[in-house]
Amino acid sequence: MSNKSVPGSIDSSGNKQGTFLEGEQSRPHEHNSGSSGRDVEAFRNTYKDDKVVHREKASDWGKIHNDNDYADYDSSGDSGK
Amino acid sequence: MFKHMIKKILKFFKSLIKKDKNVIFQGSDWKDYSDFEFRWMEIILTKDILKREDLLFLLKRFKIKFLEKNWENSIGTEEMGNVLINDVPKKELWLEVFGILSKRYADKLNFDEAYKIWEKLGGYSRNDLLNTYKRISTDKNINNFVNDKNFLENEESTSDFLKLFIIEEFYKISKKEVIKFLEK
Repeated sequence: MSNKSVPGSIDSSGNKQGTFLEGEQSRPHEHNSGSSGRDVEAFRNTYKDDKVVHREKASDWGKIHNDNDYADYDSSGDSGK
Repeated sequence: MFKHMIKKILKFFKSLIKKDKNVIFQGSDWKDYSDFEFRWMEIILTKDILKREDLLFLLKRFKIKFLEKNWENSIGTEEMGNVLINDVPKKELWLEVFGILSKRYADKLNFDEAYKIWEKLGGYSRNDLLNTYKRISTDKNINNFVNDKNFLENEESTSDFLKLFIIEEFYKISKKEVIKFLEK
């Protein structure tokens, strides 16, 4: 839907207003195939006064799975974003 | 030192096994979804419609686990839902989500009912959509957003957002309440 939405902008106070296409990655996870990694994808985040009021996957941009070996992954303090 | 070497050797063998199996993870092909199917799945799995325990059930059903310690408690429900949509092929995810909804959320709209309402909303003018949303809205932030003059500038975008917001609100209440609401 939101590829029709009004593009985001930064107002004079430095606040995000409108819809921004923003990349994010998930925290590392493992699949039934035994592979593990992070999902990297785009979201359309819609802001009002710098607060996200709506977000959705930018399905028209797709996603990738970043396959990595996380055997030594240390979970402490990793937000994934 | 010795422990470190063993770990390195194990890692090396693990990488060989991975290469032999030629593991390339593909995940879900989003082209399998129609536009509404994708939006609907995103609402159900990422907007707090399913309870945490049901998302955990789905992740375990598809043998997906986060590598973080104690991930069952620490990972947010939105992230769980996002990973399910990314990594599980539509056909398999669809069956499981339908099963959970019909067994545990029978009081909510099912997919066909939601789709009928989506189509009906498609025939509404922007003002009708705005008034419908205002009547049912429970989210103060979204309410402020839809009343913003900048939001109302783009007619096509506004209507699209409003339809989605209305469907999301309908999933916060029961099917009976939705029917009652639409009759008014």
